[in-house]
Amino acid sequence: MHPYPKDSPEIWWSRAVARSTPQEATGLYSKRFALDADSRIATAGSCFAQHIARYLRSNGYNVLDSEPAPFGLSEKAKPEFGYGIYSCRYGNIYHVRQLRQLLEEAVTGRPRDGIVWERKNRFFDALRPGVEPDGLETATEVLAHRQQHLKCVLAMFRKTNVFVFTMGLTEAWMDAGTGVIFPSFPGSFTQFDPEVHIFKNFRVSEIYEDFVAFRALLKTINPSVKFIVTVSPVPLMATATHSHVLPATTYSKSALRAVASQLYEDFEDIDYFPSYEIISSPWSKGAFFAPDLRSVTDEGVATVMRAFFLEHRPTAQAEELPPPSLEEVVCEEVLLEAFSR
Amino acid sequence: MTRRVCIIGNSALACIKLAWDQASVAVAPGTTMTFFGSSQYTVDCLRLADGRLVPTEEKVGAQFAMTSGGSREIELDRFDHFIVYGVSFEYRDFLRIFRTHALIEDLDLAPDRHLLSNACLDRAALDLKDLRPGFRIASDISSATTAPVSIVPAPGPSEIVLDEPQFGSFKPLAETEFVARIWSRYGVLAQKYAAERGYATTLQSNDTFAFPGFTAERYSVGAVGLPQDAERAMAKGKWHREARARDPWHMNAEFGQTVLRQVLALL
Repeated sequence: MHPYPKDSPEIWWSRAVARSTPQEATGLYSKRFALDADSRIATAGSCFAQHIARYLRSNGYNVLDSEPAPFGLSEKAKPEFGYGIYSCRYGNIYHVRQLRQLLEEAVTGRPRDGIVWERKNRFFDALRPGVEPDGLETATEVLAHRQQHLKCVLAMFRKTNVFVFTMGLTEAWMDAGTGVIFPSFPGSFTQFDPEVHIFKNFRVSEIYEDFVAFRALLKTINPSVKFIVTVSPVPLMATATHSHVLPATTYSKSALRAVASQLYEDFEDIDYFPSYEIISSPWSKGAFFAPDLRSVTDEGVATVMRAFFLEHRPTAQAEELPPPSLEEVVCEEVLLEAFSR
Repeated sequence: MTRRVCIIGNSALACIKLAWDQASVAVAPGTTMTFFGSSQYTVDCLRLADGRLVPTEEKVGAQFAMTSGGSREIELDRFDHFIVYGVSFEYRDFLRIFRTHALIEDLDLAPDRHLLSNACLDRAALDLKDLRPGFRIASDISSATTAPVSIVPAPGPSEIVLDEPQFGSFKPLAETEFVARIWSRYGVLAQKYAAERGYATTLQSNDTFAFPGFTAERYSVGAVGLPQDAERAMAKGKWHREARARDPWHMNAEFGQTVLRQVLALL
């Protein structure tokens, strides 16, 4: 067979991209394994992953909710308290190291040391500060909530068949003493201490190793679990590398995208879905970004998910729900911008 | 001087009407009481128009006619006091939160529940209040008349509800501090929501409980509700229906008498 067969339009840039649009994409994604209505799907990741979770739900897939909202909490209020966004109330998980640390913590069943932040006499879980907008009354309460959260996380990881993870960032803030990765800049929530809160920009090899370690640990409690990995197309809100944010974003996304391909090549149970390419490549001519050139428009998300559902057909239980809106996405990152004012 | 009282609500008011029909003159001479009841929360369809609360659904109008003695809509200037009953911030809703969740101080008693923060509980309670039409109806009344408005919640479920799978998780906890705290928290919030808007309220009398928040079983014996098909019921000369054998949500005339006393005390 010729390495560049003429009868495979998807391999030719001129035909698959230049003379096509993302909205009419075919052959962009070919699933590695099937999802069905019985698949127990768990989701996590950066802000962009929230769209995937909600579209999966509204198309009839069984997205686990291991930490459900209390009865009566309105649909509007649920995300304000971290409910219903992902399969547990862990908030956004931007970094693969963060994901790995969450699973390690869940397996031990004990909250890590030094994860309580205090602000104006209110106490926050530093590893998911957004799930209680006004914090809790005591540090003890934060730890009790986290302990129970970890039980829910472990139950979710044991139960899921397919874990969908969207990698978001390489730039992170780490506790110098414990190595714990925070989901957002600590100064957005608490007193920033450069001796304690150190900047870390993950390298390709570290991200890859973190995911491999995460996968290996997860397989010990759930041997048959499979993975769908995506990369968030959302650029960095700001960089702490002291360089221009554009090359910093390019590095971040390129590193994550490279890791995704390596994982896909190395593990049969890991699939890669190219949401990043649909939004960020020249194909879309930037049309899927909002005027801030960072947020992904509702149309962009719909185009991404259309490509996904061409391969994973909506199930019979699909509901006629309105598509999730951009305004409903919860991002701790925006706090960084607020902090800078 | 005659006091003209209007009670607007759902089928939970049937037991009050039954008690009133049996003993009105003896209980409250000089008082008239007109009941406008419709099933579940269908009073949500009431709209204010020219000093009247008008149902936008025919079925609700028919149930109003059945319970009021012929009126399909509520002319507000015909009354001196309004009671909005069983369709506001309801214990039956609030209790559902604690089937699956608990506050940190409850955890030793209910360790199988998900932890809930105080802030989240407050928000869920507020959302439950707004989910039901009672406060909106009260606000409409207040905007059109100077007559006082009271918000009165329906009773907590009968203790027999603990035999239903949905509420079975309370059964081992029924006589513990856990359920007492739930009732207490509810009471604080119910009083607060009413007071914030200038409405009087009264909570279920403690002596009607088997344990806090759960009504004694004897009030379920001979419980009454409202028939769904009002036209058919009226053709048979009836305005109420006997509840099914074990109905935890409706009460009998004996319970209606206790509510009646409480309601009259509000006037």
